[in-house]
Amino acid sequence: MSTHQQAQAYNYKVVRQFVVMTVFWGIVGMAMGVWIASQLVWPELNLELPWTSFGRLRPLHTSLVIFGFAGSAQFAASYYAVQRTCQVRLFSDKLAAFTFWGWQATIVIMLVSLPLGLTTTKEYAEIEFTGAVWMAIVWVAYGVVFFATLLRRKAKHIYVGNWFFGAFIVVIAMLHVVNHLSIPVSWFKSYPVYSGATDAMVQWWYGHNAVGFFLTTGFLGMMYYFVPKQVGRPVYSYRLSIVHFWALITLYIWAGPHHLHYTALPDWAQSLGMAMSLILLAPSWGGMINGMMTLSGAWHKLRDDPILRFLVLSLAFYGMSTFEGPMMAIKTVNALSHYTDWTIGHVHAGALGWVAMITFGSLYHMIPKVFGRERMYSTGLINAHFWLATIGTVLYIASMWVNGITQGLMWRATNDDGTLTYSFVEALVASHPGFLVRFVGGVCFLAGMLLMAYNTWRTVRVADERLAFSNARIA
Amino acid sequence: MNEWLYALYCLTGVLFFYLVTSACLRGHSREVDDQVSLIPFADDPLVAQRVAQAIGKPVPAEKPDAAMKA
Repeated sequence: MSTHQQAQAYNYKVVRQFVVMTVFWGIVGMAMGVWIASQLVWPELNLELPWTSFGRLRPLHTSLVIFGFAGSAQFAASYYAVQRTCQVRLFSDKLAAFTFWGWQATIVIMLVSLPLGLTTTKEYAEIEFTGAVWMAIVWVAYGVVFFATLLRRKAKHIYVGNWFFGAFIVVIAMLHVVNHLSIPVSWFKSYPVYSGATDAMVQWWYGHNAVGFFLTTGFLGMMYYFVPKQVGRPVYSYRLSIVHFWALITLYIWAGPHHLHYTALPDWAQSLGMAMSLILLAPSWGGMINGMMTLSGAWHKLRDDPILRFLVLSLAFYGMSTFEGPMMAIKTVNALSHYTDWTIGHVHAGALGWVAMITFGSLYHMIPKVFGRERMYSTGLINAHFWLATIGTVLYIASMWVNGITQGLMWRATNDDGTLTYSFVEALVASHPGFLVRFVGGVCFLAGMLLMAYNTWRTVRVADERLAFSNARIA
Repeated sequence: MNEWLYALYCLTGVLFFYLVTSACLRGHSREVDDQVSLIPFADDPLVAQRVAQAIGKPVPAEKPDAAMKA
């Protein structure tokens, strides 16, 4: 492609790179999840090695799926959507390439350092000092590429999907920097500047908003672009999308304290977190309804479009998990659910049902376009992936509900004399069947991911450069 | 935290949401909203044509070739 041609075309190279790495990190991260799920069924799979123990692999699993899989997916989707809605090429090819290689380097740092036990111990923020600084540099570069592209847009208005992507970039930068403020004592060991309850509060302000902004806001940006595109209808209510945006931004940031119910955190902060979490149901469902209603008059398309099925089911799971979350934030419900497998089930209703499914739908929409094909290699394989992912998610969350409620009830049961009815080990034994079902669910989900990788490979292998360039040309 | 300060704190949040949302919605007539919601189809004439048929309204989209020559 000549320089002149390139200046007139979208930058799909970086989108293609992130798309491929989304699939790659999805497989690695989910395989890690299946491995640690199997360790809970068969503890000998810890292999009696420190590097392969559950305690070290669990943060690696969450880091790989959140930052490797979901992160790469959001880079790909935001770079694709911002170019197409602004009708300009991404700002600076070199900086965009830097964000790709820089982000992959961040994931490799996690892949190496976490099994070695180098960790901040802060959930979803385990990457140690040097890695965290590098991550911040890459993120700033991402912000520059995204916002500079927005500034060069041809259209007067900024499409709502880009508002969500923009908020995701800004807020994640703020959360990451504040939560990682620490004093380094070596390249990969540091101590936080906060202590005690303050440290816990800062961590869960970060932790909940990692879910709220890394795993929700960016994906809502995806929803507002890919659902209308795949349905072939404009978003149901543009006004509602604006209200949805500001309500979500205003409320999400306050909900963190619900992770610290019945702890040393001041009671007013716990109540504030609970109240904000309950109010959060309104914007969450507003967004979900807006996405679903975009299918008005086009529901019949679900019959033969498995990509659309992925997108709609993801919205159904988004609605389900954003109802479950506020319920679990109620102090009395939390007294039963906290520290049990119910929480793990809730997280995966969002992570598998919402995040992964909307990613699959968006990727299946994008891959043919950025690789110059009419469609994916096999629609049948997309359909098989859909059912494997759905069955896997249902098995996962149902088993964790049963386990969670069982554990919560067994832990709180007391005899007439005030002693505990069950020991911890008895609750663990009762959880074993649930662990097995969860493992099966995870295997189904991973199998679907492998089908996606095969389908992607067969599509990419016969990529048509001429058609890809034609697709990339700017209108 | 002082109860009054707590109430003020929550009220500020509500006020922020109200002011910022109404500021964003000001100047957004139904026509403007309709046009903005069509942005995702603006660079895809084939899809735009199908959308126009489905919603019964014109969807402005530019042919890539025309823009390449411009």
